[in-house]
Amino acid sequence: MINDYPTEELLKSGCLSCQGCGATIVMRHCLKVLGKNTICTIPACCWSIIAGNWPYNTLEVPLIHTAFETAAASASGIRAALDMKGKQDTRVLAFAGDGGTFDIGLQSLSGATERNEDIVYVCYDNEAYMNTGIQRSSATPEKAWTTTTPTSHPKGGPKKNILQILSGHKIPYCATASVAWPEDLMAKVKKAAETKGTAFIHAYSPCPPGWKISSEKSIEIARLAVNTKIFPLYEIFDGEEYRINVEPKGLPVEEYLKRQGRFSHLDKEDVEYIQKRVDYEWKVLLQRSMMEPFHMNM
Amino acid sequence: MKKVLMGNHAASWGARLSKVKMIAAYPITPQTHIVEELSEMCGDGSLDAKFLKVESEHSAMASVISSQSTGVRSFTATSANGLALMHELLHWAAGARLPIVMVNVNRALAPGWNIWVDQGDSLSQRDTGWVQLYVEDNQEVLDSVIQGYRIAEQVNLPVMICYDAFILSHTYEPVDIPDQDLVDKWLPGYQPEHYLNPEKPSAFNGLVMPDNYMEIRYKLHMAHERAKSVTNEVGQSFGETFGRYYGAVEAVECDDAEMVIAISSSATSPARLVIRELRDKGMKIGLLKMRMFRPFPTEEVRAVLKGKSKAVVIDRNCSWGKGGIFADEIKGAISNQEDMPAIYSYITGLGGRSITPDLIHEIVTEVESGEPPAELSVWKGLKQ
Amino acid sequence: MSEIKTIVYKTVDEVPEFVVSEATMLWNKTGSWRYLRPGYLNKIPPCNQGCPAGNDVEGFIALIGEKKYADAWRLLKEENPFPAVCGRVCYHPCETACNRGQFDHSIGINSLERFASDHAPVGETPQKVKPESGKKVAIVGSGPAGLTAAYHLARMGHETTVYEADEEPGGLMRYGIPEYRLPNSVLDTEIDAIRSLGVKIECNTRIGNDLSWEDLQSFDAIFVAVGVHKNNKLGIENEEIKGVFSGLELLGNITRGKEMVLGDHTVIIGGGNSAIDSARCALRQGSRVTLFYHRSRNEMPAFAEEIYEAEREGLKVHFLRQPVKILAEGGKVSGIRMRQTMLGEPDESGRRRPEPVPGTEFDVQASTIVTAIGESADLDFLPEAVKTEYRRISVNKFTQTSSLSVYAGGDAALEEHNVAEAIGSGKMAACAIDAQLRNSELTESQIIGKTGAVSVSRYLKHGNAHAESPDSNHVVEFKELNINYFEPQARNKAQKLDMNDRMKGFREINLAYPEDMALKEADRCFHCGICTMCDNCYVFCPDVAISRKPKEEWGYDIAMDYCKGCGICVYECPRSAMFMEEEK
Repeated sequence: MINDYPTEELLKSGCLSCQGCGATIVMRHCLKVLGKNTICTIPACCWSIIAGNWPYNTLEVPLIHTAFETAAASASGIRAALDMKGKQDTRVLAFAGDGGTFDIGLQSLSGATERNEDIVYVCYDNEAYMNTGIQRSSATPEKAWTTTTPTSHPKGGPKKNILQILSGHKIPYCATASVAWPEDLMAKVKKAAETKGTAFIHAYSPCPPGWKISSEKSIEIARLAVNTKIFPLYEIFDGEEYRINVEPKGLPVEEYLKRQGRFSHLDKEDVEYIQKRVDYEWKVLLQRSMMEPFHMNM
Repeated sequence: MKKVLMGNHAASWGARLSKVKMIAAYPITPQTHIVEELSEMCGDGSLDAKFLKVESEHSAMASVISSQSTGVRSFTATSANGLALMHELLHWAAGARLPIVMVNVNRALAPGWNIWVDQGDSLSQRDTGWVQLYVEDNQEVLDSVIQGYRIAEQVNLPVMICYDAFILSHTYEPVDIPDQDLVDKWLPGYQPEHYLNPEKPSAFNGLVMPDNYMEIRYKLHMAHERAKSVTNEVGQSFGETFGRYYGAVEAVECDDAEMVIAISSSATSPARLVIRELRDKGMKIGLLKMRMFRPFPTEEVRAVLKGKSKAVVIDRNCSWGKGGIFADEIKGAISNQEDMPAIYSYITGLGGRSITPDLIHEIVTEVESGEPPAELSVWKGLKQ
Repeated sequence: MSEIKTIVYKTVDEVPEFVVSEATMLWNKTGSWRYLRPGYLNKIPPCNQGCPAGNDVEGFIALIGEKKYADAWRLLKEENPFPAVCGRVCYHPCETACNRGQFDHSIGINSLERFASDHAPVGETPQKVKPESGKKVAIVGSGPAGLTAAYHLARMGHETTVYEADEEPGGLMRYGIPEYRLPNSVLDTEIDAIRSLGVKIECNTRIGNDLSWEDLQSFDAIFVAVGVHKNNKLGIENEEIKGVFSGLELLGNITRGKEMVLGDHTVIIGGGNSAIDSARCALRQGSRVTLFYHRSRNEMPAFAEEIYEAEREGLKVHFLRQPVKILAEGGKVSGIRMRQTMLGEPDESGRRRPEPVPGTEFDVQASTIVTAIGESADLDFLPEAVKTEYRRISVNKFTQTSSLSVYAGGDAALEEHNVAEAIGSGKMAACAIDAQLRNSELTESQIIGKTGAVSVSRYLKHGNAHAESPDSNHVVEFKELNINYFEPQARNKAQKLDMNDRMKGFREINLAYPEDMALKEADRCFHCGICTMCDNCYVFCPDVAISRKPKEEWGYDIAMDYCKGCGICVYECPRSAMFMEEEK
């Protein structure tokens, strides 16, 4: 039994997520940490539907649905209003998909981060526009199949590194997290909530229908993503201080790729290429994690 | 207290007197003074508000929508391309039934780049569900911002106060600044029925299925219907308190007029001059100031125009491929009505071109002589 | 939370002005999306099946993990009256079965059993589990099989008398296992507990001598567990000469405190546990000891650990050597003639048959020769109605003989000769006799897994939860575990007595786990097939359909109204304590 696991459920049953939805698990754990005194803003994404149709709501925190590109701006507005009402203790959670974060919402996210708005921004990354039917986003991994990157021309170019973009803003706190490490995820949400200023969590969230995996494998795939170093779990403080949280087992990427229909067209060279890129990115991350942050040199 | 203010600062004062709590804005010429002044006011403590210096008009409107949804009176200002960028969120603000007030300084849309007056920016937001008021001078700018909140909060609709670039925005006029206590009494604090509240968790703007969407939209439309009378009531009430009366339209010397000039915004002032001169010469001519564009004051327009023989509509805008927008709207309002005047539509003053008394004189002379065709918009002031 | 209901607006006036959602989604019973249904089901851990005595191995380790040491002992006692004995002498096939062995190293179950028995509450005796039946049962033999049967029969309410030919009860536990492996005091404590249940143990009473078989006919049932005491002969010259002993003779004499003069060099013939025990006893008598075995190390039946320890203590082992003749001088042993063998084709036991190599004879000087090549039962006292085969009593899997009301177990009836198997057969006999006397049912479903022993607790529960589902007797395999939740961790090794202290006498060699080590070792257990409330199912459920049961209860509830049947809970269960079935 996990002793300090918060038992309060602010996400209620009956929500409209698919079987095995990673994004729903992320929401559940975020709210467990943030608690009732939270206002949530959700741009267009799977969660626009998951939360339930009017006049129903599956969350037990106030929630505003906002336009696709506006999660961070909306969160900023809520924060400003709360501050004016003297409700500094109420937390603001922007909860957006990868499309609303990496693509269409990147500008407002950049703006809010640069202003250092006191918000928690959680991007649940299911690596494509899933709600609209599996179209590629800039978070889609290289060579993956989606409906707009069919196997005749799979997704070109590597997945956008959103944490690098945000660390470039000198964001006080940003981190990757995974549904397969719920305690780590919750610890990061807690840190994010306690951060004065903008905190960003990039939460890896498997999508069984979109990735062509069976629903019970959601967590397994997330675990493999970490253990193959495809999605390392780490934190960046003040955009400079890197901390790797989970030592990956270093399994070959093939173990991850071969279990998902979206990669079933890959040949040996593709897998080798992905392995090389993953190894390179891991090396970069390791080197960054060994660098002394700026403030230590002052 | 009287002050000599540029139009933009009158807008800032309007927001300040309305005790807005949240301002989010992005700079665009010719709106910049509004936010500069508000920034100063927030800085020196004369206005207790949070000023969010967002990275775009889109984010300005998005954050204002969310702050208003959190139960705080919110304000923004923009112009032209900035307004166009907000377009999507203008729908959100109205659909969410949020009483936001925004100032839009009417400016021409690019390309080519043009920073001068033109109503095309706000008129092309016609169907976003915002109440739109077009105001004539700096005093009206200030007064309308305050009235805007009363109207908005009474019908739960966002209100856009529109005025002309440079002609008002950058031009100093003496403006009476009402006493704050008086404004506070006339415009109480914002008390929304619904707001984002952790003690009463509910979801805003969720998915509405076809079985309810039409009814929801009908309610939006009916709120606009109510906004017409509310605007008149608010204008009347404002007058009773502050001595300056406003309404959806203003009819000047129309009772016995045979010809009426319908016009809006700052061009109303030269038109007033022309009317007086022609009246002095014995011509039975009147003026219809179109202050409200949305909701469209159909009843007021019909009442003023009934029994007139000719109506001249001067538009500082154009709906491409159709013509002057106010003219088109007025035609729509009087269609199927008996005893209505012929409508003469003139497009002029685009992109900062002046609308002078001489130009209006010319137009009246043309119409009086029956030269122009009634069914087409005439472009007046083109280089010959 | 608002009321759970759907909301239908009938007229435009009823439709609210604002798109604000205040009602809960709980009306949406997403359980209807499900085509597979998860459930909780405790299955059989392989250790439990692997225990010939039928212990709830996982269960007692879990209790040790919770620091409930006395409860761990009590749980062991539900199945087995001899946890302290087994914790010392069992060859622990449970550890071979342990799934953790395929991950890193199997759990030190044997040492944990010893630890639990060391923490037995002093003087506590397990309670009776059934009312008095008024029936009487006779047990012939007080070895592990006989005493186990007596223990369970007494607990099940039958008047039980044990007849023992020897002076003291215990059989080979007392006379065949040296004290350095099993101190008598430990054995006495566990036998005393059996006596305290009302079991009568009549020693010095050999059936066929002191009492006749007919004398036993007044009993309602008889359990024969006489063990094997007849030493198999080498069949070579001078086997009866002075200085030649059987292994059991040597061990028995030492246990009884008889003085043994072995001389300077003892030669042991044989490769079983008796041979090794004899060798180690001889070493403790100060003799040099050499053991000859006619096959190779691979075929040696003695426990590898015992061989290893014996060699550390100084035993010299020679393989592929077979005795030809015992050499005598002055009417007593002077040596033995050996010859080399080579392994040929496998025999009926499956081991390769040793074949003599001609011309390889050699003589070895010896002061004592111990023959330990196996024992067989003396069954002359049995009537013809009780059929035997290969000098073993023929029994079915419920220990029934060919004669009604006569049951048999232990070494006299089993192919495998060891304490744990004997205990298992004693339990089976107790259950079978109880079932006969009370006209209740003993079925194969009360056997643990496919190949395990009978479970007394299952038999007593009679159609418990396990028996209801056909899957419940499924033994969890390694591949069914989600090993991502386990970290490699070396096995904790219990200390052994220092070599110098060891050889001075018969002090117990294997030392118990200290508490911290026992806890660490218990923590290594995977708990295959048994829910430990690790919370994985609860934490990972995307549909908030799983909740912990109220505080005082064990386990979780699944809200079937909302479970979408994604299967994450089942897949992420580290120990395969859940299952998924098709929705009906």
